[in-house]
Amino acid sequence: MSKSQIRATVHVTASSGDSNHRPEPARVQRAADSLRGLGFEVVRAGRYGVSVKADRQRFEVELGIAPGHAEGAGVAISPRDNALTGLIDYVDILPPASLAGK
Amino acid sequence: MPSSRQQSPSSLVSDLARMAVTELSPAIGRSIGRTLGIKRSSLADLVLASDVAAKFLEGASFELRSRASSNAQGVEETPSLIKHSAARVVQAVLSDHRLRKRVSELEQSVRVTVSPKTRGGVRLHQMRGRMEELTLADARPDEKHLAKTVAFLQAEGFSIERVGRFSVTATAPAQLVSELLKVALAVGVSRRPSIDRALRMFSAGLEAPEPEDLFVAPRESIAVPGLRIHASIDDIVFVPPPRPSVAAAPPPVNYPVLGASAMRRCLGIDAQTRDGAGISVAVVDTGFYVDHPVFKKGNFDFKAVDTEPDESGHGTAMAWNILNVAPRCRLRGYRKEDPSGAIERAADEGARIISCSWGWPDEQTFSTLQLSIRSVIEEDGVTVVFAAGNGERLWPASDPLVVAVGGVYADPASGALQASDFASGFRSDLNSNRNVPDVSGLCGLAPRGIYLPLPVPPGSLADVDSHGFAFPDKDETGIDDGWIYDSGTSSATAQVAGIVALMAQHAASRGITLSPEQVKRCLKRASTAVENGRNAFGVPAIGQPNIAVGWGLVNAQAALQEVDRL
Repeated sequence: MSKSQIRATVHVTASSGDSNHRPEPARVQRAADSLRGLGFEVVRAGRYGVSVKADRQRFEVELGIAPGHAEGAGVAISPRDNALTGLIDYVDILPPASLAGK
Repeated sequence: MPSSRQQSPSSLVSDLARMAVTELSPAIGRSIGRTLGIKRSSLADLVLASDVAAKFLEGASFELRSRASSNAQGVEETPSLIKHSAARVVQAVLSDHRLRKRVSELEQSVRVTVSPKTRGGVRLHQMRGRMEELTLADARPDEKHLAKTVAFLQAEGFSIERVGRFSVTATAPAQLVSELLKVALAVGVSRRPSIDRALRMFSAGLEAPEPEDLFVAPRESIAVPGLRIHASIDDIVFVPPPRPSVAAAPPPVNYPVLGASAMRRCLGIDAQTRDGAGISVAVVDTGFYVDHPVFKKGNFDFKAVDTEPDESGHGTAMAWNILNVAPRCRLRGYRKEDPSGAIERAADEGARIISCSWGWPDEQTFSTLQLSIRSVIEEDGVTVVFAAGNGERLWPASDPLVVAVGGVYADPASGALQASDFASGFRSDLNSNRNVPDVSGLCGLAPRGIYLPLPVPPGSLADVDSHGFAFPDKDETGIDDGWIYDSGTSSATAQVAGIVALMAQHAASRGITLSPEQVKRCLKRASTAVENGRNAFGVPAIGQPNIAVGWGLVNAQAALQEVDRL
């Protein structure tokens, strides 16, 4: 992955609307397909979200992440593609984890 | 053109017997006798037996790779290549079926590097050590000679592996090569340095060869002049495998450390304790150097699912901690760049325990990862183990569902236990009534935790970082020797994950599948109280449990007894 790329997990909502409920696999797959169509590299369609990689600009343009938002938990999004509205609700952009010594 | 020459087993047996008489010590001769299935083991008897065998087999037609040894499991073949090999090689090959298999493979495919005549008219092989005197243009093969070389080799039955800028790499059966070059080929060993040798300055031997150390070459020289087979060829070179620079055991040091056996002893593991067989464990980390000799020597069931190299060295070291505790578990390594994905994949692929020696400081949380962890614990019944940190307050260790692991220092001389002042222990700000750690594994002391021998990829960040100064600033190991002395709650976590594998195996033998909650309860009850020392935050270890080390140092035997009580 080039250093300009961001790796993130896009949270997919459950049809029940409860953010803690596991979304139906079909919803996750739909979100993954949409994100791929928008130019994101889909690393994995997981149980609660889609792991993606893309450059910062794509996150800003397609998901409406505020410019300069480096990383963080639960970053708010406003997708440009209406198909994603309601299907995804936030993004976790994980900084590298600390290794606990050896 | 493959050769049709064949050698009967009778002549092979005779050759081996004569070699036993003329070249080998009586002990080795007896060893060959046993290998050949000859009960009477004196050398005279051996020769006699070979003559009997020769008469019995006379007239029969066999392939060169004839049967020359047998054992209770069935027939094995002793490759004819070894008959021209040095006595110590013969002894090693005859006593190790893996080496015999490797020699059989080499017999079918000997790799040679062929140097066609160069544009500059110089023989490259004769320019060794003086290559800077050559221009690259002069060193390149003459195009006509290159083409003739390739055509000749193909016509003789060689497989061309690669036509390079300066040479042609080709393979052919040993017999074909031997006949074409008119040389007797032998098996050689690319030597593996041993700790023993380093300590005793050449007086001791080398480590036993591994299959990948073997190669084939003429006994006298690794190069043969090409002129004897074709006018376009300068030399045929038999390139030995590069000498491995990484040993299967850590280098000795002159300060107190806890070796692999002592680690197991401190954790309550002995020969009677379980070994993790049948239990799938996942380690999510920086990558895994599965080719480290320590893993090969242990013959572990250890694979990297994500195969990108471990540039850090951290993941490789964690894998060893797990395998040192549970050597027969099925260990799979996942990289942690996408931690949610790695944890979910590990569970999807059957892991019962997931070991994670990392986290985010100040209890920074990520909902998507938190959901994944909760999912694999609650829905898949996987035990997830996280490190408390070394002076940090790490999440996910502070998540109440995981097993959080801190550090206890066991004095290498006395075995006395104390809280490690290198390890974290804290009350979570995030989750009320959550104290971290739950239990502890083995961990060194501040400032660097130099304590446990850990394998890492040679030249990795960990290897380089540990090098350069005397203990206690650095560990005094080499910059690229593939070993460090280090520790932290990372290692402690991996050790506890290994102990959970032993518990899961023990439970399975009684028809029980342990839930993550049961695992945590058993671990707590099976921990040895530690009421001495302070942790990295200066918190004293008082009472059981305490904030410094949780319930204390996990004891494997006690953990199995707790499983028995379920």
